[in-house]
Amino acid sequence: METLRKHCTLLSLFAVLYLAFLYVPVLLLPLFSFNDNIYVTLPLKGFTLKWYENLLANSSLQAAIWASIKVGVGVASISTVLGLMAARAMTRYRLPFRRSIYALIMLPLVIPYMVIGVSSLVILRRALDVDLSLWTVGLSHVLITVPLSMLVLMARMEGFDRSLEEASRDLGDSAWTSFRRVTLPLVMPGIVSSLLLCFITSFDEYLLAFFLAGSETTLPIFIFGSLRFPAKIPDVLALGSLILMVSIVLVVFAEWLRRRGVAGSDSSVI
Amino acid sequence: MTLQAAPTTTAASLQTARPEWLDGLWLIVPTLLIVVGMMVAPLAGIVLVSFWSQTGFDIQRDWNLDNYRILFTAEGALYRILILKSLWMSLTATIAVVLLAYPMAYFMAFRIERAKLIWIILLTVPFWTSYLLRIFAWKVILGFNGVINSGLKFIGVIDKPLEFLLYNPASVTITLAHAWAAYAVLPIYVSLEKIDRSYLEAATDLGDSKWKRFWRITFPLSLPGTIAATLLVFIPTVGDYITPTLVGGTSGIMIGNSIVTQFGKANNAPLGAALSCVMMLAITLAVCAFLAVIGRKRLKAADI
Amino acid sequence: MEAQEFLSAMKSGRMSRRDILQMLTAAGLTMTMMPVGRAKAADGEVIYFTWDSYNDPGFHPGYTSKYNAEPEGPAFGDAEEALTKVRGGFVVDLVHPCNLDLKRWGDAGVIQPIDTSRLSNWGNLFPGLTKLPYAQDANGGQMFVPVDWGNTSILYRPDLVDVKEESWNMLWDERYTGQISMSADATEAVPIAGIVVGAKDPFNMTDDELAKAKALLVKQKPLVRFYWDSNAAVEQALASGELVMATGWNSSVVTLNGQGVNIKYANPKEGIMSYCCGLVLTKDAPHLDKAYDLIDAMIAPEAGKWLIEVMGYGHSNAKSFDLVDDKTLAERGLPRDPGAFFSKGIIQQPIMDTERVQKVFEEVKAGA
Repeated sequence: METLRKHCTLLSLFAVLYLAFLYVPVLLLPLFSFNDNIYVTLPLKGFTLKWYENLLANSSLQAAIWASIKVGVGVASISTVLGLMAARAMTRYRLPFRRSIYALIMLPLVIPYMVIGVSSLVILRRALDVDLSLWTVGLSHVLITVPLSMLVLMARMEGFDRSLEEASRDLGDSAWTSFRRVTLPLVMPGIVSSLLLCFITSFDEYLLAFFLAGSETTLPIFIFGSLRFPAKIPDVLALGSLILMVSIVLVVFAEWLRRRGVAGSDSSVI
Repeated sequence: MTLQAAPTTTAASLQTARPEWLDGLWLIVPTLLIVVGMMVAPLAGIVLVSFWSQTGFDIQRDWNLDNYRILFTAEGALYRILILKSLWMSLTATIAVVLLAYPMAYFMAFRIERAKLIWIILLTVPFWTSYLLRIFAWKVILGFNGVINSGLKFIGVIDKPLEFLLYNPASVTITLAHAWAAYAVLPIYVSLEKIDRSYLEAATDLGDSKWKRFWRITFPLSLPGTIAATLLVFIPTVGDYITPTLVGGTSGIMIGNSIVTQFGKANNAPLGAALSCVMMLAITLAVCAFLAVIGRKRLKAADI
Repeated sequence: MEAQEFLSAMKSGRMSRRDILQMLTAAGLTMTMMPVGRAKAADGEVIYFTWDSYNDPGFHPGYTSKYNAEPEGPAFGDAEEALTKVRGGFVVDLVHPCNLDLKRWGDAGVIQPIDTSRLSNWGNLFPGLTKLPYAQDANGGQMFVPVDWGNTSILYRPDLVDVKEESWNMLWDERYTGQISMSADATEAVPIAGIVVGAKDPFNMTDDELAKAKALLVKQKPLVRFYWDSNAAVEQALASGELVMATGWNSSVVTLNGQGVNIKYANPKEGIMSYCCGLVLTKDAPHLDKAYDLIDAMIAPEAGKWLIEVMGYGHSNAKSFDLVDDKTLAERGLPRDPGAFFSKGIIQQPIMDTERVQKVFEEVKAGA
């Protein structure tokens, strides 16, 4: 018993440190977003709200963030649906050429984005005469996030106890019903993880977005463009801090709702 | 207990004449169509171009092996170094990322009882800000007059800023370990979380110690997630050149930089293509070797 | 919370397969579909491909007032990537490269000559800029309209560096080991080394000169903290005191001084280097008339006044300098008489043999 408790606290300590490792750098950003200095350096100079005022006036930055959110949400949803289907096919059925299919879907992770970007651009414009837009950016992001989604979901679905599903089917459920009632709830943490990972991948992707975007700019393109104008960087910093603060508030709020709503009741799955 | 999902023939599949895998095929066809549709051209293109040559902006379709031959001559020493360096950087970063991520995933899977969704989200929130901003933050922490240096100076441990914190391979590893954290923790977590607790109880009942139980049951069952995490971090970081450029200092050049330069200012797309092919091949070999080793371990583990 | 409801709904089987699919895909599809398809009419605004912040109304007040609209501005972060994208078939009217890249834009065959008689401000531009190498094609057609120019020299902290004589040699001063930064761009860094080794033409060196320049860069590497690839990085490090000197542009002087950082801009005895950026017109430009209006607006004196005062760059129109007082010019390191200045300084030239120069600098960086 004694060793068990010791183990527990060591692991908890590690978890706290790890979270600190993840959060300390990004929590510095809000601090600097109120600093009266265009450079992100110490020591702090003085409090200001002007970067937030600039942000309100910076319509191209606002357009860029909305474009990135639109693409990110769309890509995360589509890739996760595709990834879910693919992972199911890979883990549930004995597909012929399973290894080759697996390797093929993983391929986009291996090819340099520069190559994917330029060749997709040439095909879309020269061969198909498709106009560049956020759609073409989204398409390329689906390509690079599908393998990610499939891997995460396979990790969840591999080695599933198939007897549960079979029991459901023996009871007369269709393949779909048994998937929906038995498999899907068990896969849910994987789905949520996949959605989030696909979103952050698309949200931060620069090279493919650059080559395949039309007149509308996504956030990473905007940021790389402003590196030439350091005076614009605090606007981006203010935006980043705003996103961070809003998401933390949302998470805390959600947790508060959950505690109020499900106090005591079963909440073990997620 | 078998650790790999043993293929069992179900009653359902015996009843129908249609092979069961056809159902599976339908599920995977949409993804395959997208991948094949979008990848065949880039892939074929890059392989073809790597056997051609370029003068100015014109590509000559003169089939030759020069772009590959150069990699084995003195002239190609640069590219050999860069490829090995990139593989090494990626390997060390991946090991660091996965080793740090595993205990965190374990904690989330076994110590957190409720609100697991909140934890999943909590892990990704730091990444909803732009990567370049996070790099700025790391520079503030590790940099000259940064958080660490100012702190140490304040408590009187040092009187001059430590300069070895930033712009070296270690700062690249730290930054990458941060950047890829969510990609490693989440797959490991989802595979740990699905482990049937009754297995663990059974092992404890049989008198296994905590460690023995971990190595015999928990770790092998979490392998799919650990493998996924390793691949998700390793493969993209080989080609990454932005992080090393920004925090790696004067030696922060990687094969990715070189490939981009060849396609652009160096006017040598064929060499860029050949370098890409070699890099892809190297990654594939590394991944296959990794999977083969894991596969053997897995079999051994199953024998115990 | 939504996901919680979603889950419990699913557990209790209240949710059908269709619901789930709808939730996942509909959310994505509707969001991507919203106002993406901005009306793409032939009578749309001129499409001006540039660094994001260059598409500010201050750059082209004349265009904004004439059309009461802004040019459409897809942005790039790197001019070389922009060239790749235009070659790939991306349709734009005007692009904003710098003179170092002009040879590449010309060779790529993606631009067309500009009819200077359609530009009311053309006559007032500095001839030193309109006649830059590769600004005209072989038939004498004007391929490039200069707009903004600036210098490349050494930014240094006079409070931290002891300078006897301003020279490019400063970048090799071993007293400042680990406190120096050099541009990561080979076409900028290698010619600087070329100047120091005394190459006859630092932009097109002989094999021998190039080998010497390479040796010098190898010698410099231990002194270098990092090779910079954005002026944001270099300004940040100069502001914190991490760097004491670095190669850089004069816009950095304005921004750094504005933040109260003590910065001097060297005037090296071997000569300061200058660059010039401007506009090229693409071959298939869909909005030709508006493109000419934008060019003319960008080289107008009032645009130049704004460019000098707010952005800290030089302007190509001689009349712009009449609108700016001496103090403003001095602060920005800009001469009163740019015409005379161009004849003295070293204007950066497009490098003929980029491949060789790129490889040399890569070898230096990789230690091969």
